[in-house]
Amino acid sequence: MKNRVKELRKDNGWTQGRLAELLGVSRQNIIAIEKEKYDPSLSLALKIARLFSEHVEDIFLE
Amino acid sequence: METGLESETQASIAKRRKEKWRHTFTQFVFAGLFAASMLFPEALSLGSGTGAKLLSAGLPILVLTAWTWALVAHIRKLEEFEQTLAVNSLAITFGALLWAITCYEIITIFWQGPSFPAVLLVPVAIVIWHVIWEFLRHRFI
Repeated sequence: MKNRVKELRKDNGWTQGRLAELLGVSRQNIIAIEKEKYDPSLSLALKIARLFSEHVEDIFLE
Repeated sequence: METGLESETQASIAKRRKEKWRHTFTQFVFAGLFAASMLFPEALSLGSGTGAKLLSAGLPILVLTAWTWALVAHIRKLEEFEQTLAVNSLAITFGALLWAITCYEIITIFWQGPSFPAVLLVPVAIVIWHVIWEFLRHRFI
């Protein structure tokens, strides 16, 4: 699934490590999501959306 | 080449590596304990009494149960991405083992070969599981 996580992270000036820390997941998780090789769970997707103050469907695209 | 990856802090690298090595070490300790518990009755010539049989069967079962419990406890502690890798690799490992051992046993029915050595079951499963886990990790990231 396509997503805008990398773009939003860079807009906020965060490293992958910092984003992982804020979300309470591993940096490898963030790498896999940004590379669009792994789709996060619903709860993590909601956490990401809340963190970036966006709607889930605006971050994770079909 | 631009990879888009930032460097990880030294502290988190050290913590991740330490945890990984601790887990790997624990798994291989279980593999050794299982092999030892399977070989131990023969090595000590325990005989064929009820007590000896109970001890011979009970020890490997106990180690196998402890290994399974430790495995589940470890997987439950992982964060979701690592948990996905662990569960996927575990499913592939057990599927592959089931297939391989069944094929082996079917072949031995017709060619009268020795049965699959149960002593190798846990060590082989652990090695395959770790290889597949690493393979999946590299595929994802």
